[in-house]
Amino acid sequence: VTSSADRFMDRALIVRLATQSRAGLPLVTPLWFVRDGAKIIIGTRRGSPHARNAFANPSVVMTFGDRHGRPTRRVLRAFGTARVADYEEMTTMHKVKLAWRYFLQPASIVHWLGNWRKIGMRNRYYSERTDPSMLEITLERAEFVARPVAVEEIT
Amino acid sequence: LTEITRSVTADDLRSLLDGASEATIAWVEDGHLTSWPTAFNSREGRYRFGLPAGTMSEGVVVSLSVDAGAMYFDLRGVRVRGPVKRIDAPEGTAPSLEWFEVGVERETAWHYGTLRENERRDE
Repeated sequence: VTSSADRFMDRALIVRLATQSRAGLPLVTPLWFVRDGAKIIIGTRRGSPHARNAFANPSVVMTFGDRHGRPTRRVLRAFGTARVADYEEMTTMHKVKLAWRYFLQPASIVHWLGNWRKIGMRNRYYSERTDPSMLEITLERAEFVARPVAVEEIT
Repeated sequence: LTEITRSVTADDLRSLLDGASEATIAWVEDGHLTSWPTAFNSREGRYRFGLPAGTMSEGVVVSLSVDAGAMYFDLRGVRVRGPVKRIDAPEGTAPSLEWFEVGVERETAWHYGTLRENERRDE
């Protein structure tokens, strides 16, 4: 995985994680993430479909296709091996990076303040989900691909 | 019994689907999982996507996600799963791509901006 791929991942806010169920069915899930060297860290629940799939079939494919939330013309496809870990394995550095990316950027602060009435409901949502976990995905290789365009530009 | 849910219906996200021009798909072929970004077209409530020719075969089962948002309460999307069949390029779309349509067997939609208390569903 090259430094340009690292930069591309660091600018992206969403990873679309493809996993395969025990029965061999595919699943795409958009998720928040942080990168820790050659690992992608995702907070999740042990009972979530993508975590159950990753436990059954650790080979996963990820696509990164945004820059600070805006779609990019090229997309990074990355292949890796996932491990479903206890939430306690998420380090302070991971939590700080998550907070920095999704809570402490100026646009994030505006977003949270603008939705402050919903925060109590969000906290209740997570309090009902009592199996926090972490996906640790070790990156193995990555490639840039052009995003197929639905409507071609007339030049 | 109640629970907090972010589940919505695909119809609730019709404006997202109608406005989307890109999606992400995954499928399994010969035991190998793969995933690609695709062009997308959902007019008339159908899930149609375009890929460079030769990327996938007809009949495979795909998971297709049309999603948007990066900030928490903006996160929303629709995910469908089902077998694909090859179709003609939808009107007004790029004919250089190979187009497919998903025969929807399962549909899931979510919007974190709609978190609310709801009757608990038996799953």
